[in-house]
Amino acid sequence: MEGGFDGAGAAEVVAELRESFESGRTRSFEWRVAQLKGIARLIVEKEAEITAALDDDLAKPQIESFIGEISMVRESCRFALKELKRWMKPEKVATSVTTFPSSAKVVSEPLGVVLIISAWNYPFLLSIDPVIGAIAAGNAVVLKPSEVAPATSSFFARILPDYVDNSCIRVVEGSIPETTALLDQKFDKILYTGNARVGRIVMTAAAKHLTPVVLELGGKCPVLVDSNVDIKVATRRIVAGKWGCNSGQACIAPDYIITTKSFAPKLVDALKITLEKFYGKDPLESADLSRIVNSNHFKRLMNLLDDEKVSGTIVHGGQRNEKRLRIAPTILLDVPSDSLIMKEEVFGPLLPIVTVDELREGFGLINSKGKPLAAYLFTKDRKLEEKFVKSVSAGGMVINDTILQVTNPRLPFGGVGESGMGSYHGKFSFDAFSHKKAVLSRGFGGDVSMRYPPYTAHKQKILRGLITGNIIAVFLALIGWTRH
Amino acid sequence: MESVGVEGVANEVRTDYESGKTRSLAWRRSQLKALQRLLYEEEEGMFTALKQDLGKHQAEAYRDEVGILIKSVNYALENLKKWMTPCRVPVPLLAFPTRGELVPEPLGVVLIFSSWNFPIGLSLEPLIGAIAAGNAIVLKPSELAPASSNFLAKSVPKYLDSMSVKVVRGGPDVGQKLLEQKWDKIFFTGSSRVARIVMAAAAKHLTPVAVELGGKSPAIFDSLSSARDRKVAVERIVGAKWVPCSGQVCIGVDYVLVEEQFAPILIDQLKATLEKFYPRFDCLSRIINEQHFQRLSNLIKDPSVAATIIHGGSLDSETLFIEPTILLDPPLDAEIMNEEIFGPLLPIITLKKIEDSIEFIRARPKPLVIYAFTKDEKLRSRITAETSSGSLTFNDTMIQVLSLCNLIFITPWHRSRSFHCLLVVRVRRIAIWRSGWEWVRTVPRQVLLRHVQSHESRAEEELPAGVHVPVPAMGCMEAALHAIRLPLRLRHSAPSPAGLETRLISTRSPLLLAAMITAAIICRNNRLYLPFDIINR
Repeated sequence: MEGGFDGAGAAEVVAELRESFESGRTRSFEWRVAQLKGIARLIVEKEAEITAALDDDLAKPQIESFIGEISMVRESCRFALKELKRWMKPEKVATSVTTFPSSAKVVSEPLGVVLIISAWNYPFLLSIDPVIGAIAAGNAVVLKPSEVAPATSSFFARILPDYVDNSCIRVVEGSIPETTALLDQKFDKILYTGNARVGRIVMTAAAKHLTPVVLELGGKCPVLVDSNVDIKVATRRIVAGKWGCNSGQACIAPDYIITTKSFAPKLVDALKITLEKFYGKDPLESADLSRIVNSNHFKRLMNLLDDEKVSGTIVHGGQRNEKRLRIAPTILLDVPSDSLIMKEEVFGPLLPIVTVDELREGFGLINSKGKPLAAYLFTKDRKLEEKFVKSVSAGGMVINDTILQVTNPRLPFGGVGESGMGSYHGKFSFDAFSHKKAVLSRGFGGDVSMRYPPYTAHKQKILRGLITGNIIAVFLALIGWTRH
Repeated sequence: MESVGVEGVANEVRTDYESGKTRSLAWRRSQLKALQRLLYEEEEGMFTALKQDLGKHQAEAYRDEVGILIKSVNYALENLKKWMTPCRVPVPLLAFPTRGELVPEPLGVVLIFSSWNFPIGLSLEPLIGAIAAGNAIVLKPSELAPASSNFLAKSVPKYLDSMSVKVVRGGPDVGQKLLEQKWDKIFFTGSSRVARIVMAAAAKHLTPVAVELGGKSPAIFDSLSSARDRKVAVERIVGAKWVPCSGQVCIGVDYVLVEEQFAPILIDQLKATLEKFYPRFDCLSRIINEQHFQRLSNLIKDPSVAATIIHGGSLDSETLFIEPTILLDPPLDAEIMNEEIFGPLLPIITLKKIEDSIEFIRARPKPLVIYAFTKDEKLRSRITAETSSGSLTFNDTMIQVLSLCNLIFITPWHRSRSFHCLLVVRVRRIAIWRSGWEWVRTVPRQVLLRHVQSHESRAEEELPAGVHVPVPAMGCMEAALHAIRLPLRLRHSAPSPAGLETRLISTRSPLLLAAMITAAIICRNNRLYLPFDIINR
């Protein structure tokens, strides 16, 4: 970490990058492809180091690192390389009678110098994935990885410069002071992944420079479970989505379950069986579970668990090891709605279950909280599915599975309301970091003097028809017949 | 309005939105149709308000505000169902069997701030988008255009659903109180100074914003060999400087860049065009208020700037009139070359080579629009690739807005994708005609346009599909059709159950049906009286 990276340091970095950007270097197809290929090479050559860093930061199981981070980045790179030429092509659009004769197109151009602030839970993925989008769109990039995942942060600072063009892509390590110094500078776009509290700080800082932002935040992602499901498959998917994702420390991990009172006992039993199958009898020892990232978060989760309103509702798990920062998968049944665990985003291996008489009551409960980043429904009832999609608002939704929406590069990944604004992944990343410039070309013929003063009644009649694209009105006006 | 009042309004609108009413296609359609009626029936009222606020001529008011709104609302009505339809997304083989879909949904309650220079246009245009997307709306028009503000406060509740679409009048204090409430999106048109305040306030609630600002939009004037081309080009420049609202327009030409050897030709042509357009100045809007009048006067007060005035320059503080003024090479560090002018003063900056204009523009903040008059293909490519602006128009001005439906009118903010941005402008070509005969055969099922010509709110759903003829017109129509009834297999049916005065004629003759539907489509927008309606399901 650079000592004393203050406002002057930040200004210097941004000025250098801006100069590089102004030189036009980042705009060529060749440059963008070279950077993306560099990142692809980095993933292949340094896979072991990446996995080690993730293990260091989060005790992330190797398979999770591979599936959840490394292969996702590789896919993202590959998709961008494959589609980039098509994305960069201007899009021709139809023109209207009003501007006849003309041709119109939409040109994607880079925004300039962008800032990417990433999070600690998927420190590799959430740093590099937006960088891929920013590069594909032709921008210069400053990446600020999260200091809460120091091994990955240091990996980027040390290794990334060897694979990409340093005059246009920089890594700045640091915590609050360094981030504040960066946020004081003018960027052309900021993408922030993290929590809503800091999201507000980022947006407020961006407002000073009128910088557009993409905020990838979080929320309480609900899972509604109907009684007519294949319970084995459903619980496997819920467990994989909850504890298989960084031990619940993921923005799209299931946060809480809503199910009917009658079905709840069956669901709890099935969850217990699946948990034992996946993580053994002593999950604190399992190598397949990530640990809690640091003692701050550990204490936060303990607070949620030791809340007197919920301590009596634990039906499974609850064991913890403070020294090794591990918490066993814990299920709580029938938690009161005013408990802390039902008000804050859990972001950990605790799964509260709320029971209702009828599943549709769950919709009201979900809508009473802030819009989440994802919402899940397990059911075979098509009508319930349709009602769910219509009545619940969330960043994304999955029916009969969890978390898979992020694996599809053709679906935008982003939140709404409290869970964020803007989106990325696939082409949406390219669009997020581009300005879509409208370009209209005309010749010198086809001039309509009706536009210009002095305004006469005759001119106005023709103008009416012309603006509304109405050839007949123009013709009628020319021969003197209008609606008046 | 007190803060309780503002909060009360916000809560009312939110409660109404939560009822789910605004989400249905029927509601959105009914509101857009009501807006259509408002624009048609209240035209005089709009002209009067704009004349009062800005001295705007009726032709200008129609061209720049009313006409554009009509076009937009028609476009929204035509495309609404398509926009609302979820679109399928391909899914990787690995995830088989899975279905992926993008579902557009309304954001919720939207706050719209509009500006004073096109007070009705800039209020209702975002409104159209917000309604089409299924949101509830609070609109705060600019207090600097009080007549238009009053007009909107009176007529919007008269035509639109007053529980879901509200107009709040007031000044900056009301604006401030509105910003304290929680909105699901804020749409702001105005200055970048106030935009920063809006965005900072929105950040507290994590509300996404769309801001339409301005900037110094340049016009690059390359050498054009043909005198006619030069005349057209200069008319278009004048048409973007003084013609719309006396230069008080965000996409107007702020200054012109020209090679020094061609400057005299440009200046002569400008003077000639000004004389042609403005033999008297009654077609020119006035400056909005004293504060802006003072601001503009100060821009040319500086002696080093005043010395460069080569045309115009007279001011009348009584009538808030500023004569069209041209300046040649004012000092680049003067305020007139650093602040957005937003008025009837046109600096001309001369360059050694026209290509220098690219550097000149890049050294300054990105403008909302760049205009370039050139036939040089190489220069065009360079301008497209090397400059950045909200939009770019070659060889014309202002018209990109009239082509609104098909291009995106944007700052770097807008996304042309989904309903998460209010102005939905994705364009897809719909090929209705696969072959002429096929169209004729299948048109009753394929025609996507519904035409109900009525001034009462008729329940469309009650009328059966077919060709409806208002009874008074039945006489001659009937007689004519009677004569050819047998060969064309026409039949009459009973009056429609809605008790309205129409009679249903069905015809199974595809040619006759095709001709009647074509006529109905063509006359649809023109509101010409047609002796029949086509209602299709």
